[in-house]
Amino acid sequence: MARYAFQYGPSTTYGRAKRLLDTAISPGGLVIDLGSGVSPLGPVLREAGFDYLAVDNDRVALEELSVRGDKVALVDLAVEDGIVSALESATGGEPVAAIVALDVIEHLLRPEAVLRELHRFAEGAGMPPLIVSIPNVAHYDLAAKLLLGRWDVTETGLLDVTHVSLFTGERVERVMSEAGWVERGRDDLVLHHSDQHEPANQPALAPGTPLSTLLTWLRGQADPYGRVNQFIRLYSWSPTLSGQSTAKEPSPPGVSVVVRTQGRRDDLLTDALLSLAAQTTSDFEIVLVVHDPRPEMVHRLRGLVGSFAPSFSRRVRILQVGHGGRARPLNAGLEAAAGDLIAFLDDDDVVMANWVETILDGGRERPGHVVRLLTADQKFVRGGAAARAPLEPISAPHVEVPRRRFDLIRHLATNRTPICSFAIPRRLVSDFGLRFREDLPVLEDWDLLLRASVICGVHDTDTTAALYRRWTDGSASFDSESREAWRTARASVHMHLDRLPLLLPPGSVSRLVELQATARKTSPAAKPAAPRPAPAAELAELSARHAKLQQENRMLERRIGQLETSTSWRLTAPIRWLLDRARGRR
Amino acid sequence: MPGASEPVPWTALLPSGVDPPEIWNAVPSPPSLRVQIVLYRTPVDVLGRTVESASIAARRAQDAGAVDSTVIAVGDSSSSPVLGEQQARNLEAVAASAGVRLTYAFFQGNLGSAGGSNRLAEDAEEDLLLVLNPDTYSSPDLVSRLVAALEPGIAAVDARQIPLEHPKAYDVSTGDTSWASGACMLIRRAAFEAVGGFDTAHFFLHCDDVDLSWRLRIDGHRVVTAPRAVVFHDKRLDATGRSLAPEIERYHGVLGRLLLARRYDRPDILEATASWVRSRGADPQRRALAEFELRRDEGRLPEVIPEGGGVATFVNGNYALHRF
Repeated sequence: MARYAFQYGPSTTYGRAKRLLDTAISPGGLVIDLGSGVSPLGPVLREAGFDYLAVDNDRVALEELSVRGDKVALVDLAVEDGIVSALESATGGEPVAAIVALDVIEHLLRPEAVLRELHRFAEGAGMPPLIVSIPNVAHYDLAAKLLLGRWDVTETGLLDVTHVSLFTGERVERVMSEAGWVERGRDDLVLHHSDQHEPANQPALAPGTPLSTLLTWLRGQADPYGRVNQFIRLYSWSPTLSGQSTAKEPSPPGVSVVVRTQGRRDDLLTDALLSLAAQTTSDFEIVLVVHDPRPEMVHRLRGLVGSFAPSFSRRVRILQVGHGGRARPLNAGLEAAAGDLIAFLDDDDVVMANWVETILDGGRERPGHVVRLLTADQKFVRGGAAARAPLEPISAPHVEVPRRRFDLIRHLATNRTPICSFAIPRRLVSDFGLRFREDLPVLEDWDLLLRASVICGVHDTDTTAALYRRWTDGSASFDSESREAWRTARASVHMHLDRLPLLLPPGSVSRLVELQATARKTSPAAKPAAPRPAPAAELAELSARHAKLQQENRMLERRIGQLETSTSWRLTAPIRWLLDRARGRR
Repeated sequence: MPGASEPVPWTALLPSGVDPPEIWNAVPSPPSLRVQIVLYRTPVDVLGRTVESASIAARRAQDAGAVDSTVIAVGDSSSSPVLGEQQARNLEAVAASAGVRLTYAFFQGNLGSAGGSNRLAEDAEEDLLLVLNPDTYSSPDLVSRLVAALEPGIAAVDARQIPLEHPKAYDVSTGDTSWASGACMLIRRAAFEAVGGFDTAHFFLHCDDVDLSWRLRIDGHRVVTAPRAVVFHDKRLDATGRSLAPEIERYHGVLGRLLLARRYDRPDILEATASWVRSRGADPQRRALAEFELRRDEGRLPEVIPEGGGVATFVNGNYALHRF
């Protein structure tokens, strides 16, 4: 009895592959089914007007197909240098309309070599499109269990005992493109609960537990494939990229400094750039993001940057962001940054000569952490364009002692870390999808710091290395509109954080107990522990309802899968087809 | 530059009956510039940045027609040379790539900042001197803007320092200030020489710039600040926000103060400082007081200028009103 015998159904792998095929070519011509096993595709494709050739190294499976009326060919894909001639002889050198390779690539020891041979074969066979399906080894269920030391190999499924090459979304994309295949479409099979979702009461797997909620969120930040069971993709043939680029990539700078500017105060921006040019180290780049759509702004700033020594100006990249709120240019900077750590400098602040050096040292001392340093605050008044000075200090620089150590719990209530006093690991951006919230009109830096520090923790360097200028222009004190915007933004930051469980650093339990005790002491008309405030309760209820709906959804998914592969469903296909046509559906 | 003429010796310009100070203002336009940097154990990479940025600033001033030619004179007060031969040549090349000539001299003795600056100015022929600390980084338009601020009647201009701006006050409409900081000070060489340059007989480090500024003002010149001329000066703060001042500053700070109080006729300040040091002073400060008293006993103190010449300012332990 052949190893694999699966049913055909519209939402199965076969059904999806067929749908992708239909988008790529019209009926007619030969479809090669690589690693067919006892595939149900033969009759389906023939019915649709294609010729069908099943290719496998499993004689028994091919026997069964043969009996059913399929054309078969015995080819061992493990013998890579024989693939092209074997397929050419199997097809009689005729052109091929499409190649499908469903759940075969993961069974190959050297998939890259096989894909390249397929590419070579396809070149001489009319450059047919290729459809693959590959199981996702980075499905949440596998990731969660691996964290707990489990790797449950099974007879069939995601961890089929015969899977020898394991693929993540990233590996699929890279391997296919390196072998000369360009993605044209996808219909990935998403299963919230894969066949690895066992034991279902494991806290990392059971929905709704803080652990699974947090892990699911983390997984979801990294890429969108957390619940993808199989990558089902359509590729077209393209001339292979000539191997990997042989030009050596310049090694990335230690730090990227993102400077956003609206280009309105050249004198202050010059101060900022000057303080960067004067740094004790040159192991950093500057990403200067101009928040203005006009080309002349970039032109002018290029001139400004170009007035500095080339040893500095060649490390400055200028990006332009035409629209969006305050955070849009910061995100553009994040996405363009190449350094291991990303720091920020507003165009009206300045830093001390050891700013970058302090960040680099902090990154070396505690890799993977947010690096934090101290700033001196100083009050200034802006000078007008005609004034003798572009700015006037009105207080001495002052370092706020209570801010020396980062305290997450205190920071949840109030920000004590200006944007120029922390740097984030770029991994947060590349691996966790961390971005500034563009819907926040203010406090976007505080929000980012909180989300970053929850994952990475904060390493305090205890070094004063920046000067934060507090502008106290007589007129523009906090007016009621900006106070309102500030309050709303703050509430929004809290609400977003409230959606997820929160990782608190060691020592937090005592702090929280202490805070509660202080709160009780300061309201001596001691009410018994107040009921949870309304919004949190509503939120919890909504979460519960959402979880229930998701569960119902998953049950329905399974039911559909069962129905589609059932005999009665298949038998009634023609009737449904007629009904669809009658309703005007395709 | 079309129209530029050779510098004319001041004596040829001296018609009868004209007060000498006005003559010092008659420099040919555009003036030539000598940048002076005195080293003391300066790390080579730090010096490289100082020279590179100063060369760029000088180059831009030349291109804008604000200065004619520039030379950068580096003088080394260290006990052993900061630059080896190859390094000196590399530094010359850095300046040369901006079209600026650089000379390096090892003093074979610690002359201090005052003595070093005077030594570098000894054989100078340029119209303007830019005294620059080795731990500075010039903004591209530093030189142009300093020169632009050097109006007739003004003998010295200093720049706005970042990140830590000097607190001394200045007149917002004229720029006049009590004294110019030697970290970055542009001076008319003729005026500098007329007052005898820095007073190396009495000052070594610190307060030498205050003293020079006051003597220039007594001689009839103005001293101003040009806040749009920006220089980065590598000063830092500790984790509590206090200035990171080396020990040596505490010694010379007190000694300089005592000498200023003596020269500029403030026996009250002198006495208050001495008694403060005796009761609360740290070791370097006590040693400074001891040195002052030794010089007094040996008759080596500066002559008193009655009433401080009308320019000396002593306010709250500072030599100018401070803005913050």
